[in-house]
Amino acid sequence: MKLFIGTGSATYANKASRTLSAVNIKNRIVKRHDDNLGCGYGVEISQGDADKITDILKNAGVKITRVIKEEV
Amino acid sequence: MIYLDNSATTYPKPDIVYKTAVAAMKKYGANPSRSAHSFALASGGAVYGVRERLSAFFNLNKPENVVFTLNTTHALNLAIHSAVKENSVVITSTMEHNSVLRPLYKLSDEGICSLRFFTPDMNNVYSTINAFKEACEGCDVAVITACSNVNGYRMPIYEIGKICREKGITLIVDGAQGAGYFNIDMQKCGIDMLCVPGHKGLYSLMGCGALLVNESYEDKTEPLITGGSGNMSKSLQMPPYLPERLEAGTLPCLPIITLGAGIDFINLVGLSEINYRTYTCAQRCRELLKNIKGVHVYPSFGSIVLFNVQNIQSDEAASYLNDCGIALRSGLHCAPTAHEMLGTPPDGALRASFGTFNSPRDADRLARCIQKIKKV
Repeated sequence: MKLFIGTGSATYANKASRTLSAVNIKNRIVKRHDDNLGCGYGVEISQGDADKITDILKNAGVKITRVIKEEV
Repeated sequence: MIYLDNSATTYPKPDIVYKTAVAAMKKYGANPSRSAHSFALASGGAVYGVRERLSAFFNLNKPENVVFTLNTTHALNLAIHSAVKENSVVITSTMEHNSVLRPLYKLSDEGICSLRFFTPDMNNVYSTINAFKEACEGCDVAVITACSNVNGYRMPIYEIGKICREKGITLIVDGAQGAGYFNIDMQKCGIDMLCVPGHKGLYSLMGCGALLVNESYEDKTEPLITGGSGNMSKSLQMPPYLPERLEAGTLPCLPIITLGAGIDFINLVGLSEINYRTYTCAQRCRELLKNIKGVHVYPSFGSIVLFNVQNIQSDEAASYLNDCGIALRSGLHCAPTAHEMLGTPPDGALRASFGTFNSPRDADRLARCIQKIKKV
């Protein structure tokens, strides 16, 4: 399963990426169109527990706009 | 040339800043926050790294609330326009720079706010605190410099912040001369919005500054200009949260990245060492000049020495000193009320502002040149 967590801005994508890297969760920053908002950024994670990851990010103060789970 | 104009901009910069600038031109040439190719992400990551360093340096602890601006004046305009509303009463000091005074007077002239001033007592910090306490009654916003650009006077911002918190006054601090010279702790001082330059005490290239917004104020900021932010593009309004809300248009990426190198330099050398170096030079200068007959040294502090030579206009003296190989600034230093308070002549005064790369010998050289002026 691949996970995309939308953060809205590139700033929050960077914050999310560094927060996850600090707890050894591999990720990368990606740009992905949001039908509601337009241009958007977020982090892509190849594996992991979506709830746990979003909790980590929320606790760090990352603003999350959406979470997309994709079967690989 | 001996450079004694560090209050205008620090020069030279630390070596690490030059090296970073050259490397950044090659490595971070892509626009941060617009695309997602590797070059853009590298620039974006570098810019975010500077937000982190600024946030930690001023104890903001929220990198995303570091808003990059063109300079301190831009940051102050953003802060003032966000905080000052219809019928606001604003308190400020007589030591402020025009970057504070002009935006406030404009709003006052438009009938939006009313202004109130307090005068600090250079010889007694308690009198300054009391003067602020008495004058701030009923005020909504305080805009205060951390340190005067004219004579280096340090405002008791910790105590002023405490009073502002007690009375529910929004506190905006102009850190143009304080940032990088002494510790400014946003939490301890209760600062709602801190405005800092990149190119002065933080050693970046000219072209960037920052507005640091405390959590208490993050939802109340208003953009001065609107435009592209690289995100939420479908919306015809600016994004709702910081920093993009206040950062329309492409960021000055190169100066920002050198600002990070400047902070690394300060962290390496230490604020107390920088303070010691600049104070030592300025103090030597004050002592030497005071012993020259016909030279008047005004009350000045820290890294700054404010003085005049009898019967010589400050611009003329500065021009002569330039010919002697000394660069310093004459005139009113964009702070007319501070000069009025200090009692300088209408043409202002000479300001020698020492930086971390000056040595006490530079003060000796200045004193010798001043002796020569008197003989001409």
